[in-house]
Amino acid sequence: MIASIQTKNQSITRTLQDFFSDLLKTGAVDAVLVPSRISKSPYVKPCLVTSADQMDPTVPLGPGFFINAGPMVSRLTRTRADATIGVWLRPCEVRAFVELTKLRQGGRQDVVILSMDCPMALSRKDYEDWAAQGEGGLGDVDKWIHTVYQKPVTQVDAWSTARACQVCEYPYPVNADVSVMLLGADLDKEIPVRADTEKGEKLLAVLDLTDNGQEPAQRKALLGDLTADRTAAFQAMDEEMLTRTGSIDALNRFFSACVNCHNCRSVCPVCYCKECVFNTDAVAYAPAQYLSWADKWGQVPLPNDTVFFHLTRLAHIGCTCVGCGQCTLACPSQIPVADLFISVTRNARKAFDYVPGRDDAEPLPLSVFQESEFTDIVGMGNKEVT
Amino acid sequence: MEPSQASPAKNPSLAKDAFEPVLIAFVCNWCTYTAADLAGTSRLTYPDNVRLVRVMCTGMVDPQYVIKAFLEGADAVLVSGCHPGDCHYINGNYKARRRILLLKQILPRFGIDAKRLRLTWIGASDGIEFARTMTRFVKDIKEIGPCQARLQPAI
Ligand code: SF4
Ligand code: SF4
Ligand code: SF4
Repeated sequence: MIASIQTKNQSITRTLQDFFSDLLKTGAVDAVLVPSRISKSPYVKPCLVTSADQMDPTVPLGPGFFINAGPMVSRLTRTRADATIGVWLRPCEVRAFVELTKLRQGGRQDVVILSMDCPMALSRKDYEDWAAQGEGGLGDVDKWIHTVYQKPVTQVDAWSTARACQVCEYPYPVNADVSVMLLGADLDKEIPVRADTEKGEKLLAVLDLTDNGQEPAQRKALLGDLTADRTAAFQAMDEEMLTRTGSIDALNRFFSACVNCHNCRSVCPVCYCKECVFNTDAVAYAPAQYLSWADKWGQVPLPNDTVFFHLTRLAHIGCTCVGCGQCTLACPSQIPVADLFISVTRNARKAFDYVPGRDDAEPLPLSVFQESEFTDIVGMGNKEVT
Repeated sequence: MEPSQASPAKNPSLAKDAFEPVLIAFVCNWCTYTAADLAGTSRLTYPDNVRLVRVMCTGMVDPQYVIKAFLEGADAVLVSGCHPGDCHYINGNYKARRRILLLKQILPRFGIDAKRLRLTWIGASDGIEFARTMTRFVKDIKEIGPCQARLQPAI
């Protein structure tokens, strides 16, 4: 079913805020999780809202994306909450949550997932500039929306979108209950909303929405353009990464500004361990060990294990990186961590024909096996996996 | 980088003609380790370039062990366990196979040739097979040459 929501005051933000209020008022949900401003600052975070008249600070669509909310939904669904929560997520947040449910860190029972054609994100610096140019401490959100949903763009005025967004595989909802189809829509008039599951149908029915809408005529073509642009951008990024990190020496240089703060891990929605091995005694070496390294290599940087950390993380999330770009955003040393992680993992997971978040029913590649598979990688033969 | 820190002069085993590779083999207690033991008691010989690390099961070889081995200067890594169907813990070897496959996708991106990472099944009674595999692996790696990560600190 596709319903159409009339645009109010020519503002998509207002329209979506009212949509969320209606969800609460009708009792369709008990709470909504939606990006919201903190104390009128430009920064938004996913916030849980239970009252229909508290929607003003929320910014449902905008270029601010500083936390992947996938793990937040996992927190909200770790045990049963005896409530229904509507979660408004970017496509890469939905996909991260789907991966977490496969790790049994959360479940879908108590949430209704609402997702949208993605408004993309800005780097932190650009976001701050963009926010400073607007009124009331925030950039012109509605202008942003009108620009990014008319045609595929990588640049809005002076600001370029995050590289992760420029190479995004799924800029549209996958695995949501309700999909808000903004690309190519006549946004001054209406927002087309599609129910993708029974849960989604029910939700729209409670709101008294009827099957009176349709997918924007241009959307399919625009999605095609987007996908083509982003595939080409991914290939360029992949080649750049191969050049910049094609040897251990080059990789050392790539991460030479890394201060081992592990922020990139903290914000990564699919770095799933309760306790990371890099926080354990496994990496608490004896003083003599450092001296022996210094002797062997001529010098040993402290903290060490930088490349070890990144390679291990690459192996651990090699099949599940959803390409959200948060690791780059969080890096205090401005290392394009996501460029590397997205390039490496998107190629690596092909061996398992796996795409993170694509399908609830698709098991995590490293959690399953078949007796007779990949037999050609076993043994001393010279046949190599390609 | 400048080859100053781990030059052949400082480390004679890196000189081209006398290259003695370092191989790390993660071997499972129940099969390949027992085979190694058998090779020893049968007085079979194999090159001493191989350092065995006994693990309870290949299923416990986290990718980080393999990565650390390479970063610490191993020229090659072998993971070896029981034949399919023989795993003491039922299916650890099948899980290992997927992890090795993943590593074989990742490591070559950083110049570590996929041939430097091998997975074999060597059963408890395969002492001869064990000695042969080690000999073959060392020979192969001598041909490929030293791993670049060994020539410099992988910090
Ligand atoms: S590695 Fe980076 S881009 Fe990939 S899921 Fe984690 S934070 Fe997102
Ligand atoms: S790096 Fe590995 S061990 Fe650490 S949190 Fe991520 S997945 Fe877990
Ligand atoms: S966030 Fe940046 S500096 Fe911190 S550990 Fe990651 S790459 Fe290194």
